[in-house]
Amino acid sequence: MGLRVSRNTKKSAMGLQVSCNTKKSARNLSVDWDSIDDNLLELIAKRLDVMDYIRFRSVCKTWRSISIDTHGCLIPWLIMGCDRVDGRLFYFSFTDHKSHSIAVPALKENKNLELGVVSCQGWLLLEGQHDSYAISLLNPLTGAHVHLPEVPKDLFTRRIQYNMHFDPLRPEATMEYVEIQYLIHRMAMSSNPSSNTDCTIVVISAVGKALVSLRMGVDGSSWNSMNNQSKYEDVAFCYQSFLAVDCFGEVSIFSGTDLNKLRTIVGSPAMLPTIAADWRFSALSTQAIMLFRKVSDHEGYISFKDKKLPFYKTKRISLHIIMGDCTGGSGLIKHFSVKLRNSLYFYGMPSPRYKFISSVNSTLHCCTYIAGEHGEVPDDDSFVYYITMPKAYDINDATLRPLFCPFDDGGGSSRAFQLLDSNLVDWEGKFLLQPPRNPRRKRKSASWKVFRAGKGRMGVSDNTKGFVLALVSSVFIGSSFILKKKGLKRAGKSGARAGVGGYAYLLEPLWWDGMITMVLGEAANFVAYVFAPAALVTPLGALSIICRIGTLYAAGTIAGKAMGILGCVSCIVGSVVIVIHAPQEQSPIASAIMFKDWSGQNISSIASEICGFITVISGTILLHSTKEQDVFPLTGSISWVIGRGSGDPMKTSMMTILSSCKVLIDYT
Amino acid sequence: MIKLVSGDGAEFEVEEEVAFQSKIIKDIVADADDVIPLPTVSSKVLIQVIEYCRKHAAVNSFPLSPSSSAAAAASSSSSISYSKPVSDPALRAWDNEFVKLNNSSLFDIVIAANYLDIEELVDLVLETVADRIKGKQAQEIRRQFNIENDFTPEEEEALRRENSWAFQNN
Repeated sequence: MGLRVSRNTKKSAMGLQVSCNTKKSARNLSVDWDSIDDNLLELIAKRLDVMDYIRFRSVCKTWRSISIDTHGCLIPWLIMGCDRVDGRLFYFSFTDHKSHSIAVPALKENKNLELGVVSCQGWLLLEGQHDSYAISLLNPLTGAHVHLPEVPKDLFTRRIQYNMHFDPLRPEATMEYVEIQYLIHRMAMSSNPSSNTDCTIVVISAVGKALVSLRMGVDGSSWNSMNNQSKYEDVAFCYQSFLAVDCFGEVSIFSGTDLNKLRTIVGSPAMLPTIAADWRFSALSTQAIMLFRKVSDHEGYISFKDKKLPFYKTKRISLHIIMGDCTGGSGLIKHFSVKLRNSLYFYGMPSPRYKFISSVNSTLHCCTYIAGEHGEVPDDDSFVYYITMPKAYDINDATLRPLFCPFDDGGGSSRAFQLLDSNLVDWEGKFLLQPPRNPRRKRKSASWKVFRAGKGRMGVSDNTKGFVLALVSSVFIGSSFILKKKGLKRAGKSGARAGVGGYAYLLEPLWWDGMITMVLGEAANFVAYVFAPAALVTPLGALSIICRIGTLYAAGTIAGKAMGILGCVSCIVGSVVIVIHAPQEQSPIASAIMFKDWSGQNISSIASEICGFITVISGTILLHSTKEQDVFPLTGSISWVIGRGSGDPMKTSMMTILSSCKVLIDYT
Repeated sequence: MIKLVSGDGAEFEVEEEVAFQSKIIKDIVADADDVIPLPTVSSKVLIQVIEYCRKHAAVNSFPLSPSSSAAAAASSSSSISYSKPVSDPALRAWDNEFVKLNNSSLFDIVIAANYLDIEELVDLVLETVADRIKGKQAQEIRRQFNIENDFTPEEEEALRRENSWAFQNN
């Protein structure tokens, strides 16, 4: 262990260690973990999800006394939907990565109410359907069901959204659109609605994005429209104030006791609203408000069998931190965007609201964001469908981790658990992982396992595409030289040689064939850079020389030389080595700088790449030295260089070396 | 060098950066001499705690590895202060090995770490304990952690009724 124990005390230490052991075994018989400090027990409890927390509390009286209610931060559940016949609520647990269900009789008894798209402090929002504007709050753990007054029709309009859905248990069925109707977009509560009559609820309407409040237990409990100067995106309760963020990223702070009193507005009014404005509260404290919004980089489709799943992909998250006393009105605004190491995939309709859920757990990480991530879940029939795994984003090391932290609104929730935030519950959970309709099959598939999405499963890997394109380009470019040369030679017979200023070759169809082949080859080469890293594509360019030599052999123009063959072989071997060790990189800009790719690789793989490179270069030089000495037309070479330079502006030093090698050969 | 004296009188000499993993020791050293008595910590536990601190002091004193610092630089365009050091996978693996102990040893360590205010070690042990609790029924937890069931049968029945779903194995 390398411990320095002072010589004079070593003996006594050894002796005491024995007595220590006996003491420990004696303690083993007595109660041990019962006597642990309450603070430590609380910290343990915070690391559990609600199911484990209930069991934790039933261990002994001391453990039962541990209350983490005031912190309201247990690992949340992902609500996947409910079975109205049996009255069961299905949820996905992030601690064991399995789906479970619990009996919630209220779901069976109130068939006129459907799950809304919001949850708050462990309470699910139920909404009436069609003509009903009834609203209620349901706590699935206690079974408490609080009916709220109907929402006024003049303030609330039902939002109808069509969401893509296909049933994992009926793979033969085609993708269908599911209609979702909801009245309430976001919700915040000041306290437990069942026990506390002073509870105030603030919601954002689904259409119009207006703030509407309800004060329970006073003046007949009616919904009242609040200060609505903007369209609001998110609302939260924090430190006796309601905070609402609008599409501009501006935060309005309302007094918790008098909602008509707008305390202050903080944020950046200069921030332009975008169509995809998706502001969420992420962390709240008296010192800072953190907001974030995703930045859509790319949209497209994932092909799955004959279906096309729309998705958005981004590597950036935009953060907006308002420092300083947020309730005091003076705030320093910091805005920055964070680049993620992993891409986030957002599945669903092109709607701005469906993806992010916000989160922070002040006790664990200072900045943690949770986002939906695209993934795949193969089941028994090796059928693949898509689940969205929430992840925590840790700003400290720029990595995504499995979800850990629930939303901490600091509001002192009544029940010590948090259901996952609404939008994810709805958009990803409810409709993508809808529980099976057939009750018998339900149990069987009740434990879907979640796997990380593998790149290779989404079809042909990008590296392969790039590799094929690079090969094709090599063949084209290689053969183009021969074609052009033949054309020039033929032209040379009939008129002045190109080398001495003749233009006869322009009338030669063979030369034009060569030119077109070369253009095609260069185009393929350029596209290859989009799919595969430069470290893979560039060395493969050397293959064009082999192709050229090969064509020459075939045409019988040059005789075989041992060194030439060796050069060819070393080119091929080197290319293969590089292909095998090529880094998986998708961004064309990042891959342009090859050395950057190496940051994620181990030493041996980098060494292999370098070896491959050296092999290719030496092979090229060998080929060069053995090549037939012939004056090559200058025009062809120059056009090659220009095409190369303008076609690929992201040229790096390594690429230049290789290119110049090739140019050298071209000139000889 | 700082001399730590365990509850059973054994003396341990450790380097400052190792000892300063404990915030308490750091505070004490600032206004006292270099011999620090730790009467509530046994030498066996202290050996383990020092082992942990030594490992973490060694890793934390290294500058960031090139790849992680590049990632940190790339992750943020404007300045933001990073409150925690970049966690090293090798260190995490070492931590996982370190906590492969029985529950009573973990108990002793967490008490000592809490007393010495070594935040990372407390987190590590509590995380391990939480992992050991997860997915287990109350009876199993009691057995594993040597906890006496001090509920009366009636109370226990009431507990089960209250949250019956938590006791089903579904």
